[in-house]
Amino acid sequence: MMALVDCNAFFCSCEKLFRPDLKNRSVIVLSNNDGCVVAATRDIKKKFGIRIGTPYFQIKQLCDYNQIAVFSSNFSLYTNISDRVMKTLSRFTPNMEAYSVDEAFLDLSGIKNLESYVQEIKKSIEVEIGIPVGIGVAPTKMLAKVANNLAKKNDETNGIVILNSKEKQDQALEKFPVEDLWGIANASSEKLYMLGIKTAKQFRDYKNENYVKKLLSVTGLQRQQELRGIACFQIENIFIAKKQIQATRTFGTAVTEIHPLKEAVANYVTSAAQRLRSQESVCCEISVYFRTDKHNPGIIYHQFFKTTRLSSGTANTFKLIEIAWKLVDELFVDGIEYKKAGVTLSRIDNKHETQMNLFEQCDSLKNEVLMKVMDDINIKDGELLLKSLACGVNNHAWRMLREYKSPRFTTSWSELPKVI
Amino acid sequence: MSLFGIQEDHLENYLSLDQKLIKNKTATFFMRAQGDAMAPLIAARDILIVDRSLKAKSNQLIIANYNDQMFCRRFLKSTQGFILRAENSRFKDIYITNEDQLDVFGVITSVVREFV
Repeated sequence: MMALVDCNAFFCSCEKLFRPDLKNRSVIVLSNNDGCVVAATRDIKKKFGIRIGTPYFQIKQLCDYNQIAVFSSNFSLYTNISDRVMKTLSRFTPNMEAYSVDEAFLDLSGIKNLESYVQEIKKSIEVEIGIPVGIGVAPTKMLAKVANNLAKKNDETNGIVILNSKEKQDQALEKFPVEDLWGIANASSEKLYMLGIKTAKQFRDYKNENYVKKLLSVTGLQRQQELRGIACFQIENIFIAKKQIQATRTFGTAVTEIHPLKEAVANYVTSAAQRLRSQESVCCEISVYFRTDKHNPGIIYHQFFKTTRLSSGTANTFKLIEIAWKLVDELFVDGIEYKKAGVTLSRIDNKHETQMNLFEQCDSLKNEVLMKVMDDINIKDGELLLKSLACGVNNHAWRMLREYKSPRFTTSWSELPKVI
Repeated sequence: MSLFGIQEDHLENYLSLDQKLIKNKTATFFMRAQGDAMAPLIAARDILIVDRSLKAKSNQLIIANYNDQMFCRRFLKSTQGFILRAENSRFKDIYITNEDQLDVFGVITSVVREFV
């Protein structure tokens, strides 16, 4: 049996952990730069019609008026709590996949008393860490997702749904909209609608497998098989190196000059390159992009994008900043207000397997050591203590807005929760 | 250089306070004491080591959520219900009659005080 453990409104639950005054309050968490809603307690949608993705400026007054607690993203807190949740879950099975920051698949095959075991898992997370979770259990990942969804939606389930018989699965899938299924995107569900398939059960029982494959590709067919209880998706607990690494941000205030734009780009290169090195990779391609405000009808929309191929792989931050800056120089147009920029590292190879170039130097050992020392210090400190001066020292011009950020309760000695 | 190989055989790890004071790493949280409710046992600015995986027993020090605030108090079970008691006698006992109202965050297992 497969279990999917999912934290309820995870970011909001983290914000509530050290704030007993928020126990029964509605909470929302905003994206980077306080742009839009990325997490909300369950009552928010029902009571106020606020959805994930709603821009904050549209609902600011509503939040003030209704005393909704608003937070900027506090990633050091969420990452720390997530790590606690995952480590605690890993006690219960040798085979587990941390699927995202707040959900994990657990292989529970061979567990005898499933119901009490799952209750024990739930209790452990809620008591030891203080984060409420919902758990769905079923023979396959796909069905576990459905079970989890039902566990979260219906209060009478007490947060646990186990679909271990054909009857229970029939009952669950009958009312489950096909577009809410895991991995069935809008485009796919529209295709299924054309066939008259509206519920997960209709999809499961649709007989023409070849047509499903043609319509939704092999993975679509696998999803159908999984609904039938035939496991196609295994637990993936091996680390898979990313094929592309991106760092993009919206600016706190629009940038018009080239200098702050370059500073921002240097910072994004720095963070992307650090992630590149942490997976022991090098990249052979770098792209830079920046654009104007999409949401402002008063200005003409401009977008700039350019890619450079490197003749040999690198993970050297300084070299990558230099190349990225050349791209900015080539693309930059004066007199425009830029609102967002980003950097993408691609054509990623394992650093031990990358193709060498006869005429150009790859990263020297000296350089690699320098990068490693920088990474070690920066990771230990948690902030970017050592970085290229290209990143600037005062990033007022473009720095992110984080007006409503809570303290780093679990990662900073000076910001510990206070008790009286 | 080793002394006839003695050093290699006897090299042990440095003592670690983490190892000594933290039994359940994922369930342990640090908090900062404020005020003098627990004086002289706990002083303002002390770091409290709080373990959520332990069930509070009578007479233990706990962190309890009460009236929208986090309190550091001694937890007592009495015939009338639970009592949250300060060490400093100027502070009144907090009585919790209904069991459901008691919201224990965790048990304080030790206190760290920096002098310099």
